[in-house]
Amino acid sequence: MKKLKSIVLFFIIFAICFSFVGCWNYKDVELQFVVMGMAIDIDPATGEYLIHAEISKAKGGTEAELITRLETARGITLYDATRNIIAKIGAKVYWGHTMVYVLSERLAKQGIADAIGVLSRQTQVRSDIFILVCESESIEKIFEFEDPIHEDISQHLHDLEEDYEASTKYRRAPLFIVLQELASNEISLTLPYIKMVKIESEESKGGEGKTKSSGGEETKSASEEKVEEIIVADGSTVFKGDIMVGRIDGLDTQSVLILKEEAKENYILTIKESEELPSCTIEVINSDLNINPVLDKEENLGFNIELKLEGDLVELHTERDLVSEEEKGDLEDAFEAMLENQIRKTIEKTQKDYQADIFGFASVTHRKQGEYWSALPMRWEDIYEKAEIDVSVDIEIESSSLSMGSIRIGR
Amino acid sequence: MFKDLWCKRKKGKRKKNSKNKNAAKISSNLSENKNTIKNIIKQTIDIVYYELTTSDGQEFLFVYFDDMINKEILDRDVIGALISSAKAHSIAPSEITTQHLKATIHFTNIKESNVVDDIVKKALAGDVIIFAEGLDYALCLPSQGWQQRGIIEPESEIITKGPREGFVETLKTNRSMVRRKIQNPNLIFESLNLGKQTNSTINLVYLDGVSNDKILDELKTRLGKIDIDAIIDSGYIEELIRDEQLSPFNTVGYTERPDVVAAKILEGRIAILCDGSPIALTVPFLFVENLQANEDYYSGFMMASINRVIRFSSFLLTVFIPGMYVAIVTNHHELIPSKLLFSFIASRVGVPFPTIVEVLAMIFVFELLRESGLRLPKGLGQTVSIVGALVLGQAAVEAKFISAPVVIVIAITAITSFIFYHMNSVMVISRLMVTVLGAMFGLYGVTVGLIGIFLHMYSLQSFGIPYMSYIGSLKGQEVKDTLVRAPWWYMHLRPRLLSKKNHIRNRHGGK
Repeated sequence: MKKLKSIVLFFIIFAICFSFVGCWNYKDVELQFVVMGMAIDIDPATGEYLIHAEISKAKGGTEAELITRLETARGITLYDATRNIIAKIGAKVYWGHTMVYVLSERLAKQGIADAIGVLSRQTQVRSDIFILVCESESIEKIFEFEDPIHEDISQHLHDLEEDYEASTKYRRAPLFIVLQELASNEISLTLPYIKMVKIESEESKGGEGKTKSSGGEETKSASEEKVEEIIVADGSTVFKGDIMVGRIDGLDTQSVLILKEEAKENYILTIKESEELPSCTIEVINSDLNINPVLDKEENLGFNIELKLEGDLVELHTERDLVSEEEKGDLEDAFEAMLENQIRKTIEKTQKDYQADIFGFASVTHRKQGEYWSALPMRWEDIYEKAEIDVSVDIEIESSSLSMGSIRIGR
Repeated sequence: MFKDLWCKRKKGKRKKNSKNKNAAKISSNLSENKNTIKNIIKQTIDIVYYELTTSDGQEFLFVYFDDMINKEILDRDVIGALISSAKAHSIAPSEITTQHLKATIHFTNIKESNVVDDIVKKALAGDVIIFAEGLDYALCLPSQGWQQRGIIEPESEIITKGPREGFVETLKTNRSMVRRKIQNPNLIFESLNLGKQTNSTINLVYLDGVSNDKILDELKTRLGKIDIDAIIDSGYIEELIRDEQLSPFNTVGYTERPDVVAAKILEGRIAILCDGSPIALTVPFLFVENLQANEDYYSGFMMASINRVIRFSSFLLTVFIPGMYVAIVTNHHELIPSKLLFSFIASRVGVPFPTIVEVLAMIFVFELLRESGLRLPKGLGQTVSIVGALVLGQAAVEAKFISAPVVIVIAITAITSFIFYHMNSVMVISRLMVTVLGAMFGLYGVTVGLIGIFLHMYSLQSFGIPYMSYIGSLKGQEVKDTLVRAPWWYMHLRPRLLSKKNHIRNRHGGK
């Protein structure tokens, strides 16, 4: 009886556990065709979705060498389009390792909610897949770009996103954050923007590129100029709701990242040469941000932004000893003025041009001025547009990296 | 008490039988006695009936098995003594007594007996039996002497630091090795004979006052119930007295090392020595003992603790690695990093069999290699390993019969399984089960397998002691010798359930 009871209990536990697990299926690993990245576009003529997918599979052998195939499919809905790929590839594709999801600017301007919604419904797609916006003209070509140091373009874009903090010229937007910001009414979404730009490169042709003349000097005989296109990240896009309303450049993006505390350290600030000071760069090693919403007598909302940075002087274009206690004050002042100006300009741009609160000032207001937030006198975007912003930056240059001062050239 | 138990089981016919035999006594007539013995011990070439008449007219009959005794002692100290004593002062045959004989023969521990059955048993065990004309008692001289294997380090339990002696096949020698380690008046050896045909001698060893009486009684009851033809090795006993007959888990421990037996006796366990077997059994046997090695206690506690953790993880690895691999590669492609996924794909492209078939086939091949390597003569062992490594490992991968990760997985399984060789049966069975579950249900199946195995382990008992005792405990004194080996100054107490009577090992940390 006891034995029967334990057997029954075991099977009950076994059965209950079934409801806790997701769906899975036996499939041998080599049968998976992995979509590494996907670009979504909309056909302006028909309104159909277009999918450009980069599909990878490893070649057999001791080294995991990848074979990559690009394929385009169209469909009335995105899901329709993804299934239409099957007819072209000859197999169902696998989304579990997709790294990037690129949306065309055209699509972004019509609204991205549907395209993102598909991802959040999908069981296979990971929630840390990166979302990017790409220039409409480039979107067909991005996966065709040949990057010699990355296995595929999806990996390229993935690495680009991972290292955003060192650059701060574009944002890092994984799906789960995009979903949060899309759903929130306290912040407007920003997504990184990429495009393809033409660069002129000199490329030699075939094996006859370098020939040796009789004199033994190398000459370029049959070189010709070739136009190559490469992918670059270029600032960010600004959304209102799910509709793209405009773009901001790299420096503006840096301001956004600083104010959202997405960039806290390791990013650099640079000032240009002026009459008093040479060009120089500091690397931020520590930062402290404080945003305070304040109400004036007429109940107008304003924000005091206090930013304290500690930096490391990494490059200085002078022989003057600007690192000493007496002199570094000038340098700090210059950086403070530069950054205050940069941040103020960015905020003004979002206020005047887009009325889009991409910094999350609304959520700060919600947190710190709860009463005001619960009875907003008008629409938040109008309040935001009129809000007075006061930026004060305090930069302290802590050290000059490993050297005490600049190199003094011996004469 | 033990004899009672032994007899109780065989009530009825056998009891009557033995009563009749008990009744048979020897007479004072030599030729009559010779016939009595000859009737019982069948005609065989190795038995000797040696009749001796000394110069004073006394007649003696020596009965012994030629190859079982030490002849030198018999010639010099028994026969020689009798002859020279007869020359010195003669005694009339009617006056001879056992006292007189004992005073003449240079030998210790001489026993007298007049029960035929008893005498025959002693002769079979290697005693020299002396009958004298006119004496209705026989003298039994325990002068056993035969060739025995030297005491060497047991090959199955080799250590780098610690005593190197191992048990041999002779019970006496084994007993002496234990007694030498525990020179304590409470150390008790109890003897009994098992096996209807072989009449093998078994010894129970325990430390009175430390061991748990209930366990001892239970053990005796179980031994009393044994009804078997022969006990060739202690493995017979192990299988007959163990709990959970159908479980692959050992519930009786075994070792070839006297130091291990001594240490277990000191923890309150009971050891069983079996004549003719160098393997001693210890009961009760808990799961933690699989993790323990004698060297843990001879080297520092830190390294010992690290080794314990390694051993436990090796148990988990060897059981779960093939199952996990199959589950991930066939069911959970999203769980692994992309790079790893592509290496798996690269190795699998072109392999004709599904992953599960590959893994099961390799598990089978590994078991084949293990079994064939185990019993091969040493010289051939290398051949097997070369064939195994080159043919199966490399060639199979290059020929794309098997993917490389599977070979790696099986190699890890194999290496880790040798760490836990005691539990091989468990590992083979549960590994197979988990692998099949992993292929069918993915990691969910593996988890269910894990839960199942642990549920089973927690349901086991060894002589009334829960098999998994002390594993899940949070008390310092209980976990001190499980996944970690606490320093000796911390081990104040003996295992609680095993040594209820005398719980304290040392009060002040042995310092």
